[in-house]
Amino acid sequence: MVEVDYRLTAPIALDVQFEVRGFTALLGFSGSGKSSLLKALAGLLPAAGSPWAGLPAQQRPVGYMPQGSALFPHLSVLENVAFALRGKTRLGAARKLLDDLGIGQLAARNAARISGGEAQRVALARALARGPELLLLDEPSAALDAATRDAVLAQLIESIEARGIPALAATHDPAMAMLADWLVLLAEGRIIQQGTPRALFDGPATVTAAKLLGYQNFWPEGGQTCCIRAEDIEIDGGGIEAVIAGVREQGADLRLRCVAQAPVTVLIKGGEKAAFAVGQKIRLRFPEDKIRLVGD
Amino acid sequence: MKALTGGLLLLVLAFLTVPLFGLATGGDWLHATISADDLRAVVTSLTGGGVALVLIFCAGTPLAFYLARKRGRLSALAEALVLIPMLMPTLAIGILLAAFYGPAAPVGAALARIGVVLTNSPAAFVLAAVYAALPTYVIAARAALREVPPELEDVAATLGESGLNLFFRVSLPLAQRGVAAALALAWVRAMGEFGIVLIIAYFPQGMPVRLWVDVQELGVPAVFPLLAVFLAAALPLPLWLGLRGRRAAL
Repeated sequence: MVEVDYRLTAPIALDVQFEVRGFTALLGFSGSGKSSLLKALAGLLPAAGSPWAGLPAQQRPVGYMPQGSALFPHLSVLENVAFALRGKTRLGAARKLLDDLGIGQLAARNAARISGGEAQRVALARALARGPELLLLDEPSAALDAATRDAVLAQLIESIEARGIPALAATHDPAMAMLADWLVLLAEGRIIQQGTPRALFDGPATVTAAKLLGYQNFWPEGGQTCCIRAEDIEIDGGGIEAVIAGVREQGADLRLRCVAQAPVTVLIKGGEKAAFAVGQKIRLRFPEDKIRLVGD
Repeated sequence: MKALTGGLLLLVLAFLTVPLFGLATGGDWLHATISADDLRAVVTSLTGGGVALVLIFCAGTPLAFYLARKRGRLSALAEALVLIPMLMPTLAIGILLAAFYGPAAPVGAALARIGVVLTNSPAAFVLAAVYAALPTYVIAARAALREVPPELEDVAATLGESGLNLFFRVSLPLAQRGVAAALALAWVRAMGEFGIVLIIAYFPQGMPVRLWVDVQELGVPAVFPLLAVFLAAALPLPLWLGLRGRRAAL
């Protein structure tokens, strides 16, 4: 576990305290300063705090993987991994890292000519070469093909956990955050909540936290704010009356935009588009156990 | 319409290349020769240009890297200072250099006392070439270095690399085609420099001044052998690098 306590002033003001436990996801909206925080931890942006503040990037025990892997395109895969290593054994050590990650066959390939998933594993091998105490991953899912994304990410997380190195992955994607051991929410320049993904997805503390975690429906009730996920609303009789304002297929599911006292978004798993039409009246039921009370 | 633009294109290309036909038709190849003075001029140009190119690379690359990475008032000022000599007529630079480095000027006199004579000497020839070509190199190399993604330098820093090592392992290799093209441009400027050398380095004569003298004394047809050497020295390297860079871009 690594305890982080950092303050940045530029390019964005941040004052954050949180823990990195195992594979930790740092979830925040675009522009919330996730990448800046990672860069500051890597020593690439000035910041105050602990750990390592004041040390130059070259001396920090940190493995940094920026968005899109950032392999050196003028070097082979093997030379990329050996970049941080010195001495006669450097290429041998690099080859062992590649073999351990199951990508030894890529060693001689040009780093500019491999797939996004392969590049990410090479970037991991390169970051591991220095024996880091903390791995920093900026949007690890961004450069991956949608079709193989989840499998590649799961494999990446497995490889990191197998080595027992704490990792901090910045993401804006709640689906990616769900794969983590520990989840940290960044908004308005500070950490608004942290905990296990299950605890956070189940109990967001504020409206912002709930929005970050994918909650879409909010309404005031008795001086507080309630929220519910689009997929937790039921339409099988009972509940409040609403009018359908929009119908859209979302993969195998169906997304309904409805108007009740407030706008409501409903996600029906495996819903048939033909069964719904704009202007149609339906009844929406909000199961008590799925409604969450959040602070402002 | 297609035929019209095609025709226009060919016309422009023909216009640009017709002077080369003069090489075959305009010279008195049977009687013209290369004199000992001509040969000395070739050696002066190639060695002086070579020394200037090394100096330009060593002095210009850090400046180009600074201009590529920094965006501020100071770097804007630095860029303006680089552009001024590039945009000035070379004859004007020559006169200003003579006024600054000449034997009558304080700086020129001080340098002469420690044995560095910067008018009509090999050092003056190199100085002229550097003034002619350094700004061109800096501006072109800056553009090439600006293309290097900063996150690759960031990653290299987190992998323990810094300073010159980082530059030579990451930044320069990634910008090598552009930097090579910038060097080629600088070479062309240095080889062809006439205005500055006319004032501060008439001797030792490089190829342009020698050609000028030969034309005055022997007439145009007689200078074609030296002209051919001049073109051969100045053109092939930049042309090759330019085409190579274009292929890489495609």
